[in-house]
Amino acid sequence: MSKKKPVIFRPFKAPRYSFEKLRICRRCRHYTALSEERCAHCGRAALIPVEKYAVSLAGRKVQTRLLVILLLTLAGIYFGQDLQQMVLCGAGGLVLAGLVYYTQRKVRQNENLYALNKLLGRNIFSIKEDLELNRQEAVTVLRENDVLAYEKLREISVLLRGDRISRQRVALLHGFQLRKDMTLELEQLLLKDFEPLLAEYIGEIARVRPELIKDRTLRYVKNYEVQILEMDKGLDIMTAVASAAVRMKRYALLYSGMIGRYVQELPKDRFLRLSRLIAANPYEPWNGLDAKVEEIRELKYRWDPEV
Amino acid sequence: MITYAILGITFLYAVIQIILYASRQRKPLTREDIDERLLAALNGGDTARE
Repeated sequence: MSKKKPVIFRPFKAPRYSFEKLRICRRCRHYTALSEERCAHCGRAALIPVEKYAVSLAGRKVQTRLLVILLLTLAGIYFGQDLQQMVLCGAGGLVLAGLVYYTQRKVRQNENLYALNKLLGRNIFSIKEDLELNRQEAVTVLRENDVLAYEKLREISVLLRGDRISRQRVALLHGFQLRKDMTLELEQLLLKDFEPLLAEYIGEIARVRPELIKDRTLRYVKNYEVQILEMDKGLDIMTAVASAAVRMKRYALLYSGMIGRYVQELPKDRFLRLSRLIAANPYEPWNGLDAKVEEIRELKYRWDPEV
Repeated sequence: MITYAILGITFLYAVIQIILYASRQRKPLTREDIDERLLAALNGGDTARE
């Protein structure tokens, strides 16, 4: 009997750039990758995206530079000995201020990015510390609410991509019932070494969301094929992955050897798909897969008019 | 005389600012660069997972 828990995750879309996930508290300058309303350190609702904060920093810098020019101009006017000097200084100062202002307007976008780069570069150690605190927070809620813990880890993993977080996420996902309508990930969870829970998760994903089985996953499965086959449901996992791989000609060609080892176990619709793929591209280098498919057709589907 | 000295300082300050802006504009930063640097700094150069 399955002990997996049916769960509902909040919708999640990974931002295009990882720094879009990072927010800073305007009061205490602490960072967070979590979607909380209030800052976990000072408790104030003063969290803003780092990019917005960098734009305001750049804006302040631009204004300060202009202000320096205007103040120097005013000082020049103040120390003017006659009207001619005062007018000359005033006009000169205004022209210079105008020139700087014009340049600032032209380079503003770039300046904003420079400010962001500087902000992140200067505070990288506090960002690391704060993200680690975020991770610890996710781990502390694990016992009471594993779904919330998973959601928090999912958010942190946009920025922290080490195996440690992936392992924790895979372990949590192992306890959940996976459904097609869930926001699921796979490539982001792949580890450097073999992990049975991850292999099981890959097998489930191959059945629930085969479109998530891509190049990196197929490479992982191919690398650890022996270890996966040693697992209880190893053959089922490999068959599910092979079934998912035949959805694309590229994968069928690249992993023809691996698919060939499980072609006998493929469900009828997947076998049909592979068979049609080969029939449509007979001159591609199938690496013996075409012969195997032919053999299985003769053995299993000889009397089937569909195949 | 002081006025001209101040005007000269203002001129120099404005020129330095414009040169700084122009030099930065010549090698513009992109969001991709910042993203890559941040991920590399946070993950010790390992940003393979996308």
